[in-house]
This record gives sequence, C-alpha cells and structure tokens, in this order.
Amino acid sequence: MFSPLIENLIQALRCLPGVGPKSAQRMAMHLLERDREAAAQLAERLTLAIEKVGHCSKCRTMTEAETCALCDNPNRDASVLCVVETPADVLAIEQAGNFHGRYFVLLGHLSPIDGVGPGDLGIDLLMSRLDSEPVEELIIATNPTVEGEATAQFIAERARGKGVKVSRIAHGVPIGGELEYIDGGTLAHAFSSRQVI
Amino acid sequence: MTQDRLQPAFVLHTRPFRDSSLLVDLLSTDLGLVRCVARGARQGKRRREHSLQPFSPLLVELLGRGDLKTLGRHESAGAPNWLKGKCLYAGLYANELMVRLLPVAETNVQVFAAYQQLLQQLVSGEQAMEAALRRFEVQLLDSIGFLPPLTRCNGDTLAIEPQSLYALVPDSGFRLVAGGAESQRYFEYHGKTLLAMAAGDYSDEGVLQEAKRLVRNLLAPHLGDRPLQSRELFRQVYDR
Ligand SMILES: [Zn+2]
Repeated sequence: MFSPLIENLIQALRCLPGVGPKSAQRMAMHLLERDREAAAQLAERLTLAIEKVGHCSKCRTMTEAETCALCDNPNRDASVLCVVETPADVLAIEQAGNFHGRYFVLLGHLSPIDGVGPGDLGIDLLMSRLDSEPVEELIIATNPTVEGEATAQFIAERARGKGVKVSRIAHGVPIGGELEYIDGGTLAHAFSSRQVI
Repeated sequence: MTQDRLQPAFVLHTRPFRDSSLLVDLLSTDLGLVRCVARGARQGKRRREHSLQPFSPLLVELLGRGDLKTLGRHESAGAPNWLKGKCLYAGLYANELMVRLLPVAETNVQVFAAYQQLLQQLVSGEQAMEAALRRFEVQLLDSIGFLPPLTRCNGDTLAIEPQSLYALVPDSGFRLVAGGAESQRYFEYHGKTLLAMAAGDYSDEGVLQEAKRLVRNLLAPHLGDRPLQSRELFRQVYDR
C-alpha cells in the first residue's frame, strides 16, 4: 500500500511502546505530510542521543556526561544511597520529593532463568562505592516482586560487614486503597511489615 | 464458564513480552510445564503483573491449542508463599530446574505435588531446606525418568544393602562395588544413602551430603554445559 521507504518508517515507529500499526501509520503521515521540519529535528536528535547518551559512571543512570547531575550535585546527602531497578524509578522517587540522598541504578533485577546475574547489575561497582564513599545507610528500593526481593537480599548480604545500615522500603496497602480489593500478597506483606503506633 | 476449566498452577517465571504482555512459564496440574501469554498484564493502572508472582498458588484457565497458550481467567488459590533468605534462592533454584528439565505440556502430577510440598517447607524456614530440596530433586528426577532405582542394583538382580558401596553407572543404574567401603570414589555411594533417599529420610547429615553429590551427578548430563544460574547465585551470596 505504501512505498518501501514509508513502509519502513511505519515499521520502525512500531518499536515505541503502545504504538500499533494504525498509530504508526498516523505518525508517519503526520511527520511526512505536515511537519517535515520537526521530523528532521526528531531524526537528528534521536541520532545524537543514541550516539552520546551512556550511563553515569557512579550511579549508572542515563546521561551523556561522565557523571549525572544528581551525582554531581553537592547539596545531595552523600550519607544515604538508594538502590533502584531503573532510571524511571529515580524519577518517581525524585517526584515524590522527600529523598535527598544519592542513587544507584541496577538497570534490572536478578533473574537466574534469564541469565541476569550480579555482574549485569553493577553490584561490584555499588560495593566499591560503599567502600570509598561516606555512605551510612543503603536504602534498597527494588520492586516488591520475587526477583526484586532476591536482588534486595543479594545486595544486603554483600553489604554486610561494610559498616553500613541496610534498609528496605516498606511495601503495603496503597494510600486511598481499600483492604477488600487488595491482593493477598500485598496484604500479607503489609502485615509482616506493620509498625507500632 | 464452569469452575472446572480452572486448573491449579504456579508461576515459575515471567518475562516482558511485546508492549504490554507477559510471557509466563507455569507449572500446572493438567499440562505440567506450560508457557502462556498474559495479554495486557503490564498495562494500565491495575496491572495484573503482581498477581503473577512465582511461588503463589493460582487457579488458571489456559486457552488455545498450540504449545504457546493464552492465559485466560486466573485467580489466587491461597496465601502466597513469601520466601525469605536462603529459601528464596532455593525456590528460584527449583523453578529454574523445572524450566530447564521438564518436557513442555506433559502432565506431571508427581512433580506438582512435590513442588507444593517443597514450598510449604521453604516457607517454614531454613532448617528443613536442604532435606526438602533433596526430596524435591529426587521426585523431579524420578518423574521424568532420570532416577535410577535406589533399592535394587546390578540390573535389578540384587537388593541394595545399607553397609555396601555402589557405583553409579551411566544409563544402567547402580552396581555393587566389591572390596568394601574404604576407597570410596567420587561416583560411589553408600547403600545407606540410597535407601534413605528412597525413603525420603534425610535426618542423617552424612546421607544429606552424599545425596547432594548424587543429585548433582544425576542432573549434570541433562543440564549440559549451561550451569544453573540460581545455584551460582546461591554460591555467590552464601558461600563466600
Ligand atoms: Zn549518577
């Protein structure tokens, strides 16, 4: 139906999350028909980002610099280090706004069946930061999944004996949620991490 | 739309699939190890991902005729087994073993029951972990025909005796070793161990150790040159 170049573009756009054949078609038409200038800019910026953006050498989040803005910010509390699975988790915590320490991004979680091991998650780099930086508390904020938990335990075991307090964020009933509608796993977790009031 | 289309199952592993779906490896009662797609499981505010966690008993509906099924209705079938410490890694090990060894879409009631029992024991803590793992491994090996007879040897001509020593001969089971137990070699085992394994009794520490070695030797040819990642993980956390 479309010429090969257009067809290729439509195919390529489908790599985006949530983009099916119809929306890919609409996007391609829009870029070519109505806004070629923006399309050229998109192509240019995409190429540049792919070429330049790598990972922060301290926390592994994405940046084109050697270290990211968060790691470079002298106002962040260097005594608290928060471990998360993805750069998106950093954003989520930053938006919540009550954490002022630094981060370490694993870029995944342990998954033996998929062959993802500690080496893929930069855990040696994390351990060397605990040795060389004045970290007093390591907050493990991996996801409350079985793999996230396995990852958390792995890090906790490895950090043992480094003189660092290791904590795990609490998991439980979401604010505004109703107990009746919460799944058994979440509820069991909420009970086991209950607090004295 | 009756209840009986739902079958008991456990999630062994999930991975992201396409945009918003999950590829799920299940251990089910009717189909044994089976892979299915959970459509849209990673989509929207009420993601279903959390209900598809390993170790939690489920009731599932599996649709489709091919090897790759589609996950239909599914619901929780009891309290989730939340494993901690070493037991969490032991659970991941059991899951990896099954994904690696079980044939796809073949009912295996023996393994399902053994796995249920394993999880119950892993939930109760680390004291019973090693024995529980050996019982599970023996049941798994037996159910897929990889376990030689543990009470008879020399091609079913002799009964295994507790005091004697037996050598494991690939593809033909155990053979009585002449000359007593002084010079035990790597592939040789005490009759006492083999009989205890047959009975699922691991109260003796020596039996437990020897059983671990035997199970490893029995698993090795079926795992090929790809080592079990979960075993490696366990070693890295706890055997340093
Ligand atoms: Zn950084």
